[in-house]
Parts: sequence; C-alpha cells; structure tokens
Amino acid sequence: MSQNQTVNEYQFKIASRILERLREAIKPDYLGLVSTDGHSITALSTPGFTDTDAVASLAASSYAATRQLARLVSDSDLTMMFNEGDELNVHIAQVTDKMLLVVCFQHLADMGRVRLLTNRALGALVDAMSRYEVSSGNRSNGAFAESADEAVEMLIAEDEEVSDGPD
Amino acid sequence: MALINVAAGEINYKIVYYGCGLGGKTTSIQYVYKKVNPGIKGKLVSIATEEERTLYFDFLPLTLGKVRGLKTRFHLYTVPGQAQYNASRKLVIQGVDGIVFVADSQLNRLDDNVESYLNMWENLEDQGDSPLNLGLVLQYNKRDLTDIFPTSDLDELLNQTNAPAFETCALTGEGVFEALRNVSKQVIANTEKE
Repeated sequence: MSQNQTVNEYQFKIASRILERLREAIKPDYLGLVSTDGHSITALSTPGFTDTDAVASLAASSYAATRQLARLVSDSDLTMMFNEGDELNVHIAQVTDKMLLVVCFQHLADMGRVRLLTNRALGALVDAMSRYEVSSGNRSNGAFAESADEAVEMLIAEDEEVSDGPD
Repeated sequence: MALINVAAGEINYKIVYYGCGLGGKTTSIQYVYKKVNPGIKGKLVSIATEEERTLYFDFLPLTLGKVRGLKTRFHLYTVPGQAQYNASRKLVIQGVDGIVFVADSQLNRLDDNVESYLNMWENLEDQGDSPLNLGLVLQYNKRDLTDIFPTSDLDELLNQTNAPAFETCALTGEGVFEALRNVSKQVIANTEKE
C-alpha cells in the first residue's frame, strides 16, 4: 500500500491561516483544501452550503478526470481548472501532487480579482506545504486500532429504527 | 492510503466497491446508506447514466466519531463495472485503502467476474499498490438466486489471496454489513503497520 498522507500541525495551521485570509478577501461560498484522493483536509463555507465531504470528493474526481483527459488529447499536464456556472463558479488548483485548492464563489463576485487572489494564496500554500513537509509521526498505535474496531462494530451496523422505505 | 490530519485530529480511509457491471456494488452501498445509523452518514452521491448505471462512482461518507481523539471517517466509493469505463475505475481507486470485491454468483457471469478481478489487480499494480497490502474482502452476491456457483468454486476462481469472503444478497442486505465491518477493521489495522 502507498504510504499514508499526513498533514502535520505546521502545514495545517499555516494553510488554515492562508485560507482564512483568502475568505476575508473574496468571500467565497466554499473554500477548501482537498486531497487528490477526495478527502477534505480543511474547509470554510457559508452556513447552509452543501455537504463539504461530497464537494471534496466531486472536486477531486472532476479534477482527476479532466487532467487525464488533458493528458490524453494533448500530452500536457493540467494544474488548474475553472468552471463557470449560471450562479456559481468553481476554481480548482493544484497545490502539491497530493493536494488541491477548491474555491466556489458566486457569479456576482469580481472573477478577475478572485482568480488573482486565489493564485497568490496558492503560491503561499505551495511554499508552506513544501517548507514544512516533515513527518510529524503517526499518532495511531495499537490502542487506536482496538478502539476503532469497537466503534466499527457498534456504528457500522443496521439501524433497526430506520425504515426500509425510499429516502 | 489513509489521510491523517494531525492538527485537525482526523483520519480518513477510502474503501472501494469493485466488481463487474450489474453485480451489486451500487445496491450494496445503497443498502448501507439506507440502514446505517443516520447520525454517522453523509449524503449518498451518485454519478450515473440516465439508465441508472454507474457512470463514474457512488460516494458515501461515514463518520465513526472520535476514536482515541481521532475523528475517524470512511469514504465508500463504487467503481463503474462496465468494461469500457476502465479509465474511470483507475481514477476512483487512487489512494484506496480497502476493497470490497462484489462478485456476481450467477453461473453465466463467470467470465465477467474473472475479468473484473484481473482488471482490479492490474489497475492496483499500475498505481503501485497490491491487493496483498490493502484491506480486501469478497462479497459473493446474489446468493438468493438459483443458478449460482457454490462458494467453494468462487473461492477457487476469485479468492487468490484467501481474503475473507461473505455470502451476500445486496437487495435484502444479507452479509453486506459484515463485509463492510471486516474491511474497515483491516484498513485500520494496516494503518498501524505503517
């Protein structure tokens, strides 16, 4: 198995600070760091914004598919993706080999400014991720697996109170 | 590979339901969605064709809550089973921690099962993984039907790694949770090994 991907405390703190500043500047609906495997690392969103786990999964998948498409047709790599919608725009940019920055913002926002500030934040993120890329150790130990197994037994089970009807 | 966010105290695992088309992958994940404790599940997202065949993937996040201070989450995915969607399958299995291989037990699906199993192996090796190092369980699905292989035959054909195998009926849910619990424990144990 490939090695686990660890986001250490320095990376997380600096990334959170950069995202917070970007949020203040461009006021997006959603702003998140996402692993290329589709896991959400950290996200800021407006109240009521849709499921951030689903956003992370779909953004990473969409980016991966488009990157693969670019490689197929032009033998070039893709580091940024922009989707313009009727109400919402989606900007996805590669931070590292394993990490993406995803920004969803309203159509009313100044698109050029959003892209400019996002690109600046991206530069800071790239720098932070590479500079502090040190192993902070794996906090899990034998006790974690034991406790996790208990939680798996307890929670990944059929809930008898849930109806069989369609959702 | 699991994503461990030390500062946020989170650990995320990716589990993928793999197998041939119409074998029961989406039905399995839909059953989990329908029956699991509502407090631990997120939205079930499906990217499917108009005929409700999986085009890209289904996605279901499950959050176990805090285990020893770590918020533990499982992200369940399915792959599109149809042969022509191999490029999509390769993308979905990127970073996978565990696989539930859903085999269709019917006699007439033998070739499809074997082809899909070999395809899984090949795709994992292409990305530098091996089923030997991942969490892996097999679901021998559609055990409620009549023209089906005995499990011993399916073991011989598909279970090259002696992975835990479960007789399932995804429609009624029989065996589905048992398989999911087993692969979940395997991926957690694998994190410990690293």
